[in-house]
Amino acid sequence: MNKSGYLYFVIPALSVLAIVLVYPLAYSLWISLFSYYLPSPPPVFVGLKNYISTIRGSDLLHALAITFPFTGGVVCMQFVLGLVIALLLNRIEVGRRVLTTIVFLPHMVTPVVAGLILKWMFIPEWGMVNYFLGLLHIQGLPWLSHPFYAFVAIMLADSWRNTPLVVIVLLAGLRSLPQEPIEAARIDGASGFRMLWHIILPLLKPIILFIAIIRTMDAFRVFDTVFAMTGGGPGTATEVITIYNYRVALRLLCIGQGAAIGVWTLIFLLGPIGIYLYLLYEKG
Amino acid sequence: MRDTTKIMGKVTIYSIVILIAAIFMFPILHTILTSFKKPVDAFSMPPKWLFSPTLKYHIHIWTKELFPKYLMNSLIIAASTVGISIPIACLGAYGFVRHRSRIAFVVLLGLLAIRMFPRILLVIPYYLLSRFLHLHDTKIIMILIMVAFNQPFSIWLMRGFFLNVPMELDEAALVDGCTRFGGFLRVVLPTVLPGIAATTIFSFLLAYNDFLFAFILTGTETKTLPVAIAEYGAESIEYWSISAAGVTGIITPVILIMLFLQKYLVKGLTYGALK
Repeated sequence: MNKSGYLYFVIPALSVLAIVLVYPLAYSLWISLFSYYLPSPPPVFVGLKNYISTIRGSDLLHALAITFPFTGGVVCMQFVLGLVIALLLNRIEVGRRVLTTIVFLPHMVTPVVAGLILKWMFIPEWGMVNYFLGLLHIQGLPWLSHPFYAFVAIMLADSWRNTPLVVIVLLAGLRSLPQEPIEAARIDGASGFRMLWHIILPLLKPIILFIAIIRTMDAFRVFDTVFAMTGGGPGTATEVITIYNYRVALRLLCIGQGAAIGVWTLIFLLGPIGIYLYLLYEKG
Repeated sequence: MRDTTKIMGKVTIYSIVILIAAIFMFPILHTILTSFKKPVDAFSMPPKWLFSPTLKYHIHIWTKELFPKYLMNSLIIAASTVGISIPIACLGAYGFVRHRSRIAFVVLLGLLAIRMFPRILLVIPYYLLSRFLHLHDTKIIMILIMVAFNQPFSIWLMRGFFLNVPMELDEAALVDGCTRFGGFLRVVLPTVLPGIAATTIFSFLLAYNDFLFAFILTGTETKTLPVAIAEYGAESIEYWSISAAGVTGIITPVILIMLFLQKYLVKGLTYGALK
């Protein structure tokens, strides 16, 4: 049968994508070569100057110095926590569905709302975090006004919303594992940590890789939650790269520079994106 | 003896899991509770778990503020996104699946990659174009963007479902005198309804939860709920109970989706990881 007749089916989707996604992206790349201060057009062609000036300036490096530890920190935190919770949920039968649903709820909260809710939790005077610390006889912390604690707070906020995703994916993975190798290992006397390390984790490897990559890409691009929670503050202590980019492009209205910072972000993301596409390619 | 250890083990696991679930649940519950508190109760330390609830703030946001309008904006944008993007994505996914070729697959991967790009690279041109084309503060531009943004993942998700449809089904439809499109509509589509359900939920959530695009591109006329609540929460903290009431309003629909359509959600979330 002639299969090219099916090509007509993809025309609507590809046209929308070309007009609304590909063309604006190309425009963004183009405008990054211009010095374009929005209130005083026209844009002036400057070549790669925006790229050089941003990477040489201290602001972008500062943003990267926050974004990289943030990404690494949340991915590790969420993976370890997510794995532990998934393993625990996998061990129970009665009530697993209900408990999984409850654990999953935070991931359903609109990201910007999650930032807002968690901001309230972390407010020193009457936030619940310091209250519970107080119950444990631990001195409350000035969460949102201290650079380091604010950084910790945004990591915790991101983890509150995204650990549930890791849990759901790993739990689905655990439930779909082949039972034979696990049974065989059990008969051979493996249990507990050795079982986890030598049997379960290797079997889960493709799924772990998948979720780790997704979380890395998303954590590197975090915006909504941090924006609502700290707005990048105090000062610029939690100004991750996207918030810095937003400030340059849409607050300071330096459009060309803003686009260049966006491209820099993309360059840093190319590694994880490449791995992700490779994984999907292997499967397809 | 063994039984006791086993039971103790179970009890320990259950206690830990319940504690974890409580921790995850707490910020949501606490916010909902706050929305029913008068300021004197909301700001009391230690927190008051028992208080005389008031509906004042819920009534306030839905009658004195523009929240109904923002909710309508959010719902219109999300519903239109679903309505336009699902048919396009179904067609696209089906076309890609039936037109098996390396190039088609590479195009699909490329589309997915675009979704991983930093959003600001799109926000800048959207912002400029919306001003030049006088589309700022219109629902049309938001819907267009959401439809496009939604395509790559929707096509991928639907593709997984179409791959399970045997080619013989199409051929039978053609033999029976259907056109390609007619066969697709009447014979193939009904077999992938669970996929359409999953894709619909994800498309709806994508549009409903969006903040950055709406924040830049909407104004007084088309402001969506997430933008409104972000502005509200940023105001003086005296309004905590009102903000909490707004948050309660905004998360109720998504929590309902979660409770009733969990099966489809999990399908979409774990798609790609499993198979």
